[in-house]
Amino acid sequence: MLSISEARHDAGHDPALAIAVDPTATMEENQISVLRSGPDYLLRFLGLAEFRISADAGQVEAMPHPGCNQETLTHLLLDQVLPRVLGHRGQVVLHGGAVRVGEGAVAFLGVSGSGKSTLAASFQEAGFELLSDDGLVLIDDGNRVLVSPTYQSLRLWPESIQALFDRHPPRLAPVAHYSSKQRVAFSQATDVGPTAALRLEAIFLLTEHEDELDERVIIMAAGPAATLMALMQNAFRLDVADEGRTTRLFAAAGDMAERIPVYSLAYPRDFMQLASVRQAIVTVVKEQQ
Amino acid sequence: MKNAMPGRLHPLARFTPSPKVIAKAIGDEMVILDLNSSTYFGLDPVGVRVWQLMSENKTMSGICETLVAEYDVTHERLQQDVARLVDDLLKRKLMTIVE
Repeated sequence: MLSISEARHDAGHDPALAIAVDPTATMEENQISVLRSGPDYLLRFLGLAEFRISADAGQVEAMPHPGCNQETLTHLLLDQVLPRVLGHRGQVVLHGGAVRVGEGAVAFLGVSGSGKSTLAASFQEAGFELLSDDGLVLIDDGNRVLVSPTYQSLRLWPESIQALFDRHPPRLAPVAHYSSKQRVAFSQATDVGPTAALRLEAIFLLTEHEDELDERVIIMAAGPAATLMALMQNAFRLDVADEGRTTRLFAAAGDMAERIPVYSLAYPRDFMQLASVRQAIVTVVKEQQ
Repeated sequence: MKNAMPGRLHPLARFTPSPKVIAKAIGDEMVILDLNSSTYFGLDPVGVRVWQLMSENKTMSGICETLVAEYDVTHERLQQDVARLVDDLLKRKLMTIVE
């Protein structure tokens, strides 16, 4: 009775320069800072590039450092800058992957390295449509919550590619010069633009078992409060110190949270077990339909 | 008085949510966001009721009297639990005492 739980949002502050360290920064891009430069924002990727973003996020100017090649610049723009731009412009953009199950979308959220991309890739290899492995725009039509993938993409570590695509090796392209991750190229473009928004059937929060030898796949429903916190913690934002935008995001996410079934998903990080994980997810989604 | 409330929680103390705090009741729970620290807090259903009563300018003793009528719990136990939660909310600066 009468307990209070706590969850921090941002990773910390650098009072000297940065407004905040972004919580959605991935392991390989943890050198991200957002500075104010007059009315504009300066989104800095240490040693790679800077992006000047106008106060209303209507304009973005890229300033790559020497040695930052085209792949890296494209990766930063698509996967890091544009989601924050959309977030700043009032969209709810989640850092996560999504696949199509039936007529709807199933999204995966989790901290960097939790297996979002690998799980999404596993669905794709099993014949499900991959919607995105990185960015999802949530749309509240007043009745349903829809998900509009930002773009179709898969960025995977080499070991995941080898394990998942053993029989049908895909075409690969480097993600960025500083990472060994590879971008999986698809044979044909899929129409996943805004017109292809799908109902968001469920979100799965990827967690790990406390006991790493635990081989069970455990899915548990999360309450709406946990859902709201998960949405906030996984939403891309340009300026986490902007109280007005944070308040509006909180209200929008809160309105959606009660209509999105969210589950925690704990499973062994074993490629051989991914089929069981997929089966468990599909069963939960079909049962709720 | 046995198990008296901590000194700062005077029976006639009244409270108000801190200005840099936004709260959202969702389901039977509540999520509180402290804009100062970018920290989220979750309250269970009874905690939500305490938050509501605090936000309605009830006194500390008024909150306990209301809750003891609503829940099957002894006054002594309830007083301890409410005092603990209110103290926690004050320490975390989610609520402030109205002077």
